[in-house]
Amino acid sequence: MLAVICLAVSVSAEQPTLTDLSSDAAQIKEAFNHATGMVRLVLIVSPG
Amino acid sequence: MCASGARVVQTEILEEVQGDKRGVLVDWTPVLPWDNRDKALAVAKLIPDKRATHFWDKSRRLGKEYGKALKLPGGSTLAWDVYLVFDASMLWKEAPPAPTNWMHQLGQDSRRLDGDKLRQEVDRLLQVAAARR
Repeated sequence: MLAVICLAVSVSAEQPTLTDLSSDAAQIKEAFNHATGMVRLVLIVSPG
Repeated sequence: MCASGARVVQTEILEEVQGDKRGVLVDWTPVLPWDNRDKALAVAKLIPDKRATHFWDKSRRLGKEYGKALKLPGGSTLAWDVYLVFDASMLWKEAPPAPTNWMHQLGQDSRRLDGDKLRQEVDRLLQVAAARR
């Protein structure tokens, strides 16, 4: 039972990865176009 | 402010429906004096959904581009705390594409971020995309 609870906590706290953008923002452009066919939401946000 | 917007996207756009054709790209960018990559990595947990992809935009490239393209409250030339929605058929060619719709948290006007309105707009665009198929 304890193992199950620990697994659930581990999954919910999963850490997203962060990709560094080059000065031309090529990485986000590629991701945007790769997701063509999907409705896309782009957030520009400060972490503060 | 931005953290509350991120929560809106997680709860209103991503948690509502699983496995459909919606994706989120998050451009974390330094605006406030204490903003940095480590902090961005920490707050990225606010949007843990697998359909979200997170970027660290140290040079504020996207904010500058959309700061020129959008009419922001107060005449700001840096777009941040903004939420851009794109039709499923939109392609990014040379310049970043103009959003189909957008909201912000930079002031009080008709574009102020509203979770219900944002979800409705995403749902509307999903219906448009489905009708094309």
